[in-house]
Amino acid sequence: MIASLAFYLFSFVLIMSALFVISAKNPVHSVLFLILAFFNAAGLFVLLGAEFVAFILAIVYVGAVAVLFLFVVMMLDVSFADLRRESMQYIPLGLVIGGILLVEMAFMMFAWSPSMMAGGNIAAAAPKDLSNTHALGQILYTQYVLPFQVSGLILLVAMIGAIVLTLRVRPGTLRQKISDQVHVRREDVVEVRKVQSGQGVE
Amino acid sequence: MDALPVFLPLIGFLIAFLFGKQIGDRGAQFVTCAGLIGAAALSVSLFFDVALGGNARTIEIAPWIASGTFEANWAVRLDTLSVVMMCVITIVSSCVHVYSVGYMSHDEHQARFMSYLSLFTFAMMMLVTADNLIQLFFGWEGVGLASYLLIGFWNKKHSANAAAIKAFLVNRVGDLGLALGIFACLVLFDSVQFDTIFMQASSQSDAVFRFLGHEFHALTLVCLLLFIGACGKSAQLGLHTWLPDAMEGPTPVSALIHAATMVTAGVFLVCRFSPLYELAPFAKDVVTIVGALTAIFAATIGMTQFDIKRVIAYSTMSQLGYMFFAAGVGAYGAAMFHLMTHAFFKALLFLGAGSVIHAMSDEQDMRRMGGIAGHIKITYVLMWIGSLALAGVPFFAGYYSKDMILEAAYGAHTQVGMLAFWIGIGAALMTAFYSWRLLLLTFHGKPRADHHTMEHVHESPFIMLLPLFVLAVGAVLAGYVFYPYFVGEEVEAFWGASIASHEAIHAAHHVPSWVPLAPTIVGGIGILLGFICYQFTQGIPETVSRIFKPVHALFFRKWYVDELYDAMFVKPAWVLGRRFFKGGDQMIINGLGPDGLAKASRAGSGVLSALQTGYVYHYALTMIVAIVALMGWLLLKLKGLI
Amino acid sequence: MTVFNFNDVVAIAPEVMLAVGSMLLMMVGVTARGGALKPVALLTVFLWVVTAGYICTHGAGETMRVFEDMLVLDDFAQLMKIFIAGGAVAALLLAVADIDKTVMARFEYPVLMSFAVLGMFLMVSANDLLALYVGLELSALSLYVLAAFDRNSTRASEAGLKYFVLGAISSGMLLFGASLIYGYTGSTQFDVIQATLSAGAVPGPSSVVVLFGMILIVSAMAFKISAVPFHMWTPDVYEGAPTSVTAFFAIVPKIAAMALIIRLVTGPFEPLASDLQPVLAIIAVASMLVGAFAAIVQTSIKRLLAYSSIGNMGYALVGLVAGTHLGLSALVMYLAIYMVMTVGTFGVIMLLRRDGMAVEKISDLSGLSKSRPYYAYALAILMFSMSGIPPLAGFFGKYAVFQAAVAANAYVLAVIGVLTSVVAAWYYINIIRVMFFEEPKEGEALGLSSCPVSRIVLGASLLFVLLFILAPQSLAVISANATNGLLK
Repeated sequence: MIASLAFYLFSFVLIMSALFVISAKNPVHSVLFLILAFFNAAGLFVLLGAEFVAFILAIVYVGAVAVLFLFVVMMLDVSFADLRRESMQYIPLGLVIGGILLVEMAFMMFAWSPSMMAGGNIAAAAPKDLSNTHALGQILYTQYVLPFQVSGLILLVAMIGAIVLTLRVRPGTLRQKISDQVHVRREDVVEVRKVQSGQGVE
Repeated sequence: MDALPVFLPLIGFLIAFLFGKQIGDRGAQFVTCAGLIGAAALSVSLFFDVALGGNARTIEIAPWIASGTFEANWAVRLDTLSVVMMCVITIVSSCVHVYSVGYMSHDEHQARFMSYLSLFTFAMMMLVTADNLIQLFFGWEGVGLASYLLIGFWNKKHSANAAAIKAFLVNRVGDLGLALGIFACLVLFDSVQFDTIFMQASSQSDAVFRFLGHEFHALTLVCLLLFIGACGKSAQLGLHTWLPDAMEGPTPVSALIHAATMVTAGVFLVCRFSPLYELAPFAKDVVTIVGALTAIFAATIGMTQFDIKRVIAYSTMSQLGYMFFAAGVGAYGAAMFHLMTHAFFKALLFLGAGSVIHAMSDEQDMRRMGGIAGHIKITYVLMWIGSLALAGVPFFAGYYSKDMILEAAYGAHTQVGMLAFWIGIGAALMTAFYSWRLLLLTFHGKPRADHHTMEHVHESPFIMLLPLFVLAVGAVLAGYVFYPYFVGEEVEAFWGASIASHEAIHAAHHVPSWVPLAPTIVGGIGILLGFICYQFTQGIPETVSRIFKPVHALFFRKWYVDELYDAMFVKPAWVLGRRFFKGGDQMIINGLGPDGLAKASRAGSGVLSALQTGYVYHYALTMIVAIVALMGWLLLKLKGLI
Repeated sequence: MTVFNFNDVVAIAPEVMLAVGSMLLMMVGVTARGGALKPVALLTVFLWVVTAGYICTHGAGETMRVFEDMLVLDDFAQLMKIFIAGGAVAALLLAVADIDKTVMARFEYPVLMSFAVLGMFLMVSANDLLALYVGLELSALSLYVLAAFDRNSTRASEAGLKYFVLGAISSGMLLFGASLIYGYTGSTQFDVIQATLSAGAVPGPSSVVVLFGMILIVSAMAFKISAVPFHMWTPDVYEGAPTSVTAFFAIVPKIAAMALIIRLVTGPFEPLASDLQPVLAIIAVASMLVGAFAAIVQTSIKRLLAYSSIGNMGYALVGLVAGTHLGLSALVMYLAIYMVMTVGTFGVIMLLRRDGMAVEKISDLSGLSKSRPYYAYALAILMFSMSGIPPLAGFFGKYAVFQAAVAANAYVLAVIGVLTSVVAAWYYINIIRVMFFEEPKEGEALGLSSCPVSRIVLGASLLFVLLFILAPQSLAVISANATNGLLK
């Protein structure tokens, strides 16, 4: 009863905030609604008993991605209103296509039922005596080691890409070179001059 | 060795044509003339061996086509008929080659001209030495090509190009007949070999072709089809219009191709197929009538023309008519005899005319000549000899052959034969008349050319006169010397198996005594008329032409055949062609085909390129739409809706 | 409970070598001082050659499934990996000459290519939707970065961004489709999916979800091979990206994605063939048509080659639609020939320089027969081959594909293929016309890259195209053997 209530609450708020994400005039508001949507999605995961995914969602998406978004949005001077006005001309076409897609999805949903063999195919649920996190950890490095490792490579490539595309050496920029600083000798930087009073250094 | 006379001209052609630049004009002239004179010498030796020695043979050179039972070879068939032709061709051709050295000395493309002459000679030799219809057709088309090239040799002249095209096209009509004749032979005899055909001829004498529900006597059809081919090449009535126009070519060409050799190919063809014609009496009658009508038709026109070469051209046509009706009444030997003598005196006349034209600074109109006899005496004498031979004055070559033809026509004792005889007598009168008209207008009277031209009138160089002497000897002696062999006592031994029947020749020797005299008498009358009209009195021709104005106009305008053809064939063909070109080809085929498709492709390409807007959301939209469409399609398919 | 199995790692030694090697090369690049591109590039080539050599010498023999059946190692995967490694070697050798001494001359270039190759290796071996996805993302992400590698060029950045955004959409479609398939079958593993679909109630009430899942996954794959109507990114990216990257795009990822499609169609989606074949046929026909017609009005060589590759993928798909062993083997053969021809074509246009850059416009080639006759003849041979004129290699590829289509009674496809080939010949031969029959443009003649390696690559590709007729059967046999195990 409470679970159902919670489900409908989370779902309703999730959908509403998703709507606001795309309709809010202020981009900062959009991002804030996005964060709200993430939180509600996390709530749904908790209801499913997948607390690890829920926390990952909250930490990674809310804590990192969405906040990054927020920074970007605040730094860029993009007028979302203008963009939206431009995209308004596609609304009729979008509605038609969206409508057709909706009908198709509806057909699919009402006709859907898993194969009789699906139950046997589905990997065993997490053992009862283990926590979510523990169960994931058990298969991540055994059964799923390949995709996990390749995901790591994907992230590496993403990092290389980010560096390649953005890191540039600007001539004239000053950088701190620790070794130069450490290796500096007194003779190179200090000179003792005798200065006559009233004359100054040339 | 026996094939050498056929291929010497080819070698000359190849060297002169391919290396004309390297060896120069002189080199090309030397090579081609040497080749031809060598070929002529060899041909004459073959004549003694084959015709007089009775040593007919066939030499196979190379297999050409072998498909199933069908077989055709490159071969040299040496029998009396072909060696006579070979001699005529090579002797006249060497004369013309040598003559051309002088006549064309101011031309820019002498090497090319000489090479074409040799090419023509080679093709003509292939034609006459063929032992099957396919090789004959090869030679037939080869001479057509050479004729086309030579008529249009001065290709900067519009009229020369037009004449060349006309000659080619009119010949195509005849060639179609020849080709159909060859097909019919193949169907009938399952072979194109002459020997096979002639051997089977009598066994097929009752064969019929069925076509559109009618039955046709097969041999008659074959002979008529072959005769159509002969008509085209030999400028017989109906397909003659190209010959006068062909005079646009250089005069040596007219002498060689359009008087002595190529135009006689039709006569040769009929004689070669004498075994078939003997079995197709109706075809023979057709040949006789067409030949006779051509003889008189051309003579009437020849009396009214003023272009010196055209007069001789119509005369040629007329003489070809004689040959055909000789063959038509079965006197093949007489036809060949006249062919041979005619080759000499007609070539002589043409080359003489060329000499006159040369002297008159390229003037061809007889109305602007006259009074030059004293300036070019040698040419004058030679032209007299040629004209005497042509008119059939006794003891010149033409006398023997023409008399023989008319006797044979009379001796046939058929209605058609009698018709041909009387027409021939009439034509003989006209022949003599227009020959002397030509002589008198050209050489006698007051000079009608301008002062400037008259100053330059000069005798031709020796190299042009030398061939004329050779031909003049032939024009004088050929009749007397060869009479016994061609149509006299030796006729059977001479011709051997190459001609099927000599009955008409024998019959010709038993005609009433006035018959042999008739041509000579009318010839004399014709000469006399010529003198009366153009030498002794003034103004008779004008008066006559005024009184018989419509008739004169009819003759002068060549019976309006050209105009008739123009209205019947040429104009409608132009209109039709233009309509097909504009409407059919350009609009429909090109419009819907290549051009239209290309245009549509370009348009489609433009549309596809325009879709490529460069906006990423358009691209994304395309993808989504595509997926939605594919999903919808599959969904409808699943629900059985499509 | 499954345990980590070290034998699996040995089995995928080539992939491990690539992964470790690429990371090592990155370290080399970082620590090296100054122009590290050339040494790293050469080491990368070395790495790929060694990997390919390892694959060649360690024949698959029996089909093997490793990592909980996530990867499959069979003849087909081996051959495809060799193709990929070979294509990558050629592309990198061409690229080094092209980007050297420009702002792009950085060691990350070969390293990213190497990661992309690793991703493609995983793609062709994928036997699980999850492995498929990670492999695809690994290669795709590297390619996105490579497309934008010339970061000073706005066009390159635009190309990279477009490719990235649209690629993300296609990944989304792939994941959505995968989730639908998983929802029905309860598994992501190919063999299980195939077994479930053929045993389950298909077609039945549930098949809509399966078909939609299949459509989504196939569409994502079609995006990768730039088949119509998922091709829109191709001309823009090909044109905008640096030419060397375009060459890589045109040569290598196509093979991997096509191999993946073959794997999907013959594996998990094999029970759905009756629904899938028409979809593939539509995609093939649309690709052939767009590839043929849209290229006609192009003025940029790279855009033209983009449409050319779209059309070529259409022809290759014809072999897949045929659905027979003959068709698959023809497809593999087609891919190999297409790859070599593309290497040669890009070799020519990257060797010819205008103002130090690879030529871009078709009109730049005008009068090439006079200024650079050898290159004009080389390009002419390649264009004739592309348009499928015997006796060049391109003819045999097309012939094999159309023959397979006819044998499978797919006459319509074969006819459309032949007709569009004719249209395509138009623009291929137009290039020859421009080179041989147009006057050279004013100004100085095209320069020439001095790189001998590029010339060797070009020469090798020309030799292949010209001499293929001597032994067309050998490639056919190799293709037939590789595709033997795919159809049961």
